Amino acid sequence: MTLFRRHPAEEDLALFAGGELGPLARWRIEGHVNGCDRCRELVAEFFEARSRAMDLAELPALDWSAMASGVHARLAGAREHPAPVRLTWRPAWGAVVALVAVIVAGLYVSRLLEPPSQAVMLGATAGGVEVRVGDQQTLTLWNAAREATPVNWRVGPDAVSARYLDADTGQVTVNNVYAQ
Amino acid sequence: MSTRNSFAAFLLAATAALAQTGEPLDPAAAIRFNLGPGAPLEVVSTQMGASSVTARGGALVLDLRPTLVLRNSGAQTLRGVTLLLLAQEMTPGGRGSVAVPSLNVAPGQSFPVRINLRLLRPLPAPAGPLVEVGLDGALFADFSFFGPNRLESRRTMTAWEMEARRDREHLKAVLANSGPPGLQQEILASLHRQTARPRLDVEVGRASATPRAISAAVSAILGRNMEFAFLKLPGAPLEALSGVAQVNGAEAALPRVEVTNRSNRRVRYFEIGWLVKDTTGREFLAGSVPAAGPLDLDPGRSAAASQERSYKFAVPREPPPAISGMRGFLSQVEFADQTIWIPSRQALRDVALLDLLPVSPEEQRLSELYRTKGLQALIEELAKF
Repeated sequence: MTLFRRHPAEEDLALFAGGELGPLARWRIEGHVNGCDRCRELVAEFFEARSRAMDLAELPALDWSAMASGVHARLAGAREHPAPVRLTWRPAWGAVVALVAVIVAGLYVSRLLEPPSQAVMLGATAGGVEVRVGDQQTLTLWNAAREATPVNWRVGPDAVSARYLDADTGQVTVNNVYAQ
Repeated sequence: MSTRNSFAAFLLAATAALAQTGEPLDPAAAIRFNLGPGAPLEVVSTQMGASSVTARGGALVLDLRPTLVLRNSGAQTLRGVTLLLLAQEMTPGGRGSVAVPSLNVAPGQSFPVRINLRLLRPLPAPAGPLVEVGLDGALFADFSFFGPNRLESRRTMTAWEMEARRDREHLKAVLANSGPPGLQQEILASLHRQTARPRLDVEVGRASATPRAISAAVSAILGRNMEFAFLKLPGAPLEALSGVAQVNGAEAALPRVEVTNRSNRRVRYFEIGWLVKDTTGREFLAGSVPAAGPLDLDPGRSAAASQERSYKFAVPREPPPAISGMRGFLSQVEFADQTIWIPSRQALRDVALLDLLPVSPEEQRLSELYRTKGLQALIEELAKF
């Protein structure tokens, strides 16, 4: 349908993710994201970001003093062992420095800005399966029978499933949870 | 703050305040059961159990514990059913499903389905029901199927049913050849496999996307490409040509496997089972690498299965394992006519996969029946099929 073909503005997707759009705009965006993977992913990311923002009050406590001590110790170590040789700049080092800079920047981005715990993660253990949205929201597929019978999990790219024998019904039951 | 945003904030706060304490759900208002027009199943009754709703962060956490009693109103014996539970389509954790395979429900008979799921729905809560429970599919004994099949439950339940027939035939053959003592020995071996099977915990996340190019580049530098070794299963319609994943310690990412169609039939879907080995020589089932989307793979043509996902493995109460090798095997193929190929039991035994793979849902059900009710109950159950 032509009405749904145009990509919505990012701010509208953000409002949609927060449930803050009116019925008409919500209907239009729902129609679009149902057929557009890119916008659906953006909505999911906005939702994650919003959920994290809502949980800011519950941020884990960091030991800032220990971190500061570590930095001071490294600085002091550097002062005690100054470089004995004076190096002269060579043009070939430019490429090496650039490569190191890219690796360091990449490490920074991958390890600090986007720690795995901040993403949508599918998890599977012997106890069940879960979707985690950031650190604070853990959605576990509760398995009442897990103590009695083994749970078989199965991991796919977008979903995990846990299979167990329901003690009450006597039936094999398969719970699935989806990342999106 | 605009008027609209203020109103939204008010609604959010009000809903959160209402839901903070884990309010029990009013089934009539919170859950809508809609099996769809013409469905061969009817809802006979619903009990909400300990279902409740709680606000957490910016979302509602819906603890769903209802038990439904459904009646088979179709003309065939029901073999499996999959229910789709939808809190919100686009929300991570907003969608779940409950499937019950290995059923044997004759027309007119009723059976229970117990739901144990937690779903998420962003605040503010809607005016209508919080969750919709619908039918994704019902599979019957003649392999006929009814349902929207949004979750590809037709393929999944057909494969389960084929595994069920394969494993029942195996147990019946053991009973015929070796009598009750032989069957008892076989089922005890199955129970032992279920408890002794080595297991890994796994976390799956996104491995690569365009805005994260730097992260992907760094992962590529830190990790190394590891090739799959492939197990050849007799009668497999596809042959794996090559496979690789990026491995770094206990993490593997971006698995990619290329196969070629050696059968004379067009293939719609396939799945590669994925085994990882650690440095101590232990081997675990890590997951599966499915073909992305429906294929149209003609005989003699090749196709690839790949995932932009990362897998982080852990063994409970042990240091993270270091991946030292990977093996793959063809675990499922769906042809264009929607028939399914699965490995035979003999083939799994020949390549020593029986001890590594989980037993089928039917073998799990039958072995549990033996464990709780004894050998005679198992023999009587096998005689029903």
